[in-house]
Amino acid sequence: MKKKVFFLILLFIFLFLLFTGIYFKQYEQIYNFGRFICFDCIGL
Amino acid sequence: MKKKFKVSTRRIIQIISFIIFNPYILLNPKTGKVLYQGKIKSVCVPILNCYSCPLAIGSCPLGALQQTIKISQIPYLIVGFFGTIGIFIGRYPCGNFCPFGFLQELLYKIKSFKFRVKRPLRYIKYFILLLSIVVPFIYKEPFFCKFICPAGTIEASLPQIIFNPALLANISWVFYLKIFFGISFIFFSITTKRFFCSTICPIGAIYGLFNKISLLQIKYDKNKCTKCGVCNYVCPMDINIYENPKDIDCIRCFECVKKCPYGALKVSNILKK
Repeated sequence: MKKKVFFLILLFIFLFLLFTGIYFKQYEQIYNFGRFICFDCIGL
Repeated sequence: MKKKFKVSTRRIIQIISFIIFNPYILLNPKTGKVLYQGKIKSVCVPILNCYSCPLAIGSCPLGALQQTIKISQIPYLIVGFFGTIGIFIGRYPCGNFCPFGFLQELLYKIKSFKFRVKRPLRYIKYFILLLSIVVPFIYKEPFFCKFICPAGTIEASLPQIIFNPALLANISWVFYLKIFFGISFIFFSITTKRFFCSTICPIGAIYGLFNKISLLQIKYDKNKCTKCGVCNYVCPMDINIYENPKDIDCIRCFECVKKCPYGALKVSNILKK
């Protein structure tokens, strides 16, 4: 029972963070990072 | 007698994952574009896979994490993404989906002298994870992507320079440093079981923290175990699962569960009694 509650609390926290990120449209930033060649990644 | 060639289910999953996460040029050889720029790039893949790779269609979660911190924002989405995956399956993506882990397992098959990673070295990845969070925040540089990531070197630097030699005019010392890490990575992958995953990978470090509390678990029956060592022999991470079934380095590949001759290990979940 204790484990189940702990698991559900953590799941709730992470889902909350995930949906907060979606609410703030952070996926658009991720898109902007990835749509051009990342010069840091290729060492230039 | 001919040796029977058998491909395990995990290998098939690894190959399919590689294709799912990296189909771009394979599917579109005639577009001439060496980088996918479609909307799927808004989605992170659950493994280390450089988003500047000509084959990649998704974004690297570690790159996205560092870039978000670099622009002084709280990375809610990435933390939630890592946490949601980790809480369910722990390091399962490392053992089954990661193309970079798959590459290391293939490199380890090359015959050479072999050596093992000592336990304290396995904690280096947490120091690198810390630097990957602190350096972008203070110095506005994506530390891991810029100075270390061998995935970036092998999957992105080299192919991009081959496709676009004009980039060579802009190379700096960082490029040579990354080439050095890339070559070292290949050398250590040949000599040591998943060297990068056990000592360097910050994504593995994050997922590893969830191994203790994730839904997916390995159950160990000490009454059946004879400590014969088969589990350690088949383990791609070179750990003794009977010492700690919740080890931060267990990548949940379940090779030990399949190969244990005494049935002392089985796949379980944390909610089961």
